Amino acid sequence: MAVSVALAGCVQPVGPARTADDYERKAKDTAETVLSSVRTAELAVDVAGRDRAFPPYVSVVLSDAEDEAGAAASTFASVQPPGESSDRLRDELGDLLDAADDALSAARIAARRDDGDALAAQAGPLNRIGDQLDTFVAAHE
Amino acid sequence: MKRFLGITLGVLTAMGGFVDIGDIVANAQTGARFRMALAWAVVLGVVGICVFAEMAGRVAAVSQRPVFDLVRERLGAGVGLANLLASFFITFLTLTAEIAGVALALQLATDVHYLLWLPLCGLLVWLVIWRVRFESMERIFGLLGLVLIVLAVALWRLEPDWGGLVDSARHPAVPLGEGRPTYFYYAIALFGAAMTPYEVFFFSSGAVEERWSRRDLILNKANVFIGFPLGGMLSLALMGLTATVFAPVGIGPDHLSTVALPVSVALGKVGLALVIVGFFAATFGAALETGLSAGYTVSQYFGWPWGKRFAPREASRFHVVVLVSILVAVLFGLTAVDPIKVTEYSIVLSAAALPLTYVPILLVANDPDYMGDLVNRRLSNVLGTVYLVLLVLVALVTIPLMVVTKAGA
Amino acid sequence: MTDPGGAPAGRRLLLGRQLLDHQIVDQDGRLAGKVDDVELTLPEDRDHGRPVVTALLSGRGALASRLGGPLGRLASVLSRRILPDPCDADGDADPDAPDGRIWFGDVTDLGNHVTVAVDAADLATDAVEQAVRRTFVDRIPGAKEPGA
Repeated sequence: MAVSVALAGCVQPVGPARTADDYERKAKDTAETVLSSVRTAELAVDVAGRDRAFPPYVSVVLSDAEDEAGAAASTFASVQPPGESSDRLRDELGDLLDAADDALSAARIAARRDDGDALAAQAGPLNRIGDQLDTFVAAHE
Repeated sequence: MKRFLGITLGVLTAMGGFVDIGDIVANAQTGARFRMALAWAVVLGVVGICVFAEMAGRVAAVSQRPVFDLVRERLGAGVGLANLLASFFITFLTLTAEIAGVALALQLATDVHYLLWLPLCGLLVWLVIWRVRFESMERIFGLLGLVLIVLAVALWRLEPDWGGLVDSARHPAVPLGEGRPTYFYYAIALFGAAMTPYEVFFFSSGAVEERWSRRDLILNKANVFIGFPLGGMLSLALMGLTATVFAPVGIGPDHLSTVALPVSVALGKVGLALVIVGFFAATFGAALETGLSAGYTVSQYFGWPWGKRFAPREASRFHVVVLVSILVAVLFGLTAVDPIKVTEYSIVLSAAALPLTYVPILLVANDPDYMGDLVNRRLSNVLGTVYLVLLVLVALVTIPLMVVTKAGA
Repeated sequence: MTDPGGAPAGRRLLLGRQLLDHQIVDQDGRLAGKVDDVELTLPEDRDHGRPVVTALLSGRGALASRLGGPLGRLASVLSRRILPDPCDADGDADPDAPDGRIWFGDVTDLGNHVTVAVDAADLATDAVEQAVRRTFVDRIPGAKEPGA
């Protein structure tokens, strides 16, 4: 599922999307992967905020989440949209992916700096973006 | 006291076999995606490995010959060679993944990238194989691996919906939104992870290394019937953890870091520390087993002296095979190949090759020339044969399923 | 090393079942390779008498030859070239060096494994073991004792 999209992106070249449906499916898969990363980060931020984890560990989790989302996003970006309707989808998802990337990076940086406040500040954005991705996935099931 | 120590062989093998990096991620992923609907696959795998490991241990104790030693004799040199090539390749893949797993566990503790740890991990694994006595090695990692009981404790602490979990396990239906092929692909992955060939090579060669005899047969049964189910329960605990924490929010754990999160949620820093130690012990133990198994399989096919019970110079080719295998595994890992993906492939390919490993065991365990009066009883044979049919079926469908589902996508 | 001739009395062997691919164990119980192939000598009188096993073959490409096929032949040739040519003390080729044949008369027991009244160090298969030992293993510290 979402997991393998990210993994596949690292290992295999991605084919083009031939139809709008195909593209939509790829978009949905990408959104699922990034959703997973965002929720993971959210959980990690929560755990860090309640002092239930060591800072190095939190950094690794956030860094992995960021990498995973980044890989999925760049895989998706490399797929040629087959038509105009797909272009809109691309833009919509693209915005979400950018927002996710920003939040994930900010979280990772804050964690590495051991900046508890900055880290906690990402909880809200991550949660919001997660919900938006959730909505996106549901809309394109 | 010796009895108690003897049990650690089974426990180590169980931990190494069940809870290595692939198992960790496979059970974690399955729990997050299917909740407990694939628990049956783990149970099936546990029963299978118990049946065959008991036989393999009995064969080794009675005839002083480990399983792979007999493959060439019973299947012939040609088939034996094919078996060797397949088994060695899969064991090597697993070795790569395990060493990477050790490095990943160290990364979790230190936030130093796992690739930087990789060569050191390879060196440590080799050093332990080179210098540490078999019994000590086994004892240390057996006990350390028990730390993964923290997974069960974490699950209990989270106060999950037990009814829901049990319900999900007892109604193994394919969930909405998932395809049948993918469901069975994951089932095969779990099953293959539970019954990986190297466990049997290690277990039976280990019985010879420890100089088991007929007197140790009760020990054999205890190891198998306590150790492996224990490993199985920990797998299920991990599955339950991710079913509880990840499934509701759509997290798909495909990094070792993510897998530890539920324990952190449940038990805080102490739990997290324990689970990281547990991951380290499990993957390190499994790396030792697969490294040694690489040496065991090749040496036993060619009839070379093998094993840790002699001074290394008395089994030079064996040790060179082990050394080279570890070296190449580290180099392969350093190409930044995704260790999780390597493991997934190794598990699934293991599933495809299981009949090769288990047919000889069944044959020899029934041979009175080797076993004397300790040939298989009816129950072992019935179970063994049933499993063999199952293994052949699994072997036939594995690769097609892998292609159809794009390796579980 | 002569064989006793076409004497009909003697033990019948199921070569595949009891000999081929079985483990060879030396006089001290050390593992010494597998029976890669078997040397048969046909009786002079072709109409009477059975072929007699005169030697076991182990090492020096015997397995590769037996498995056959293009890969087998290649492996066999390579192994004979690459494997160390046994030398005596002066470094000349040693004609008494093991050539992979174990005279069948040295076999003392045929059970699950084949026990031979020979020292493993004198066998062809051990030549590689010794070479590997000299070149690699002995150079690593701690090679001489079993682990701690």
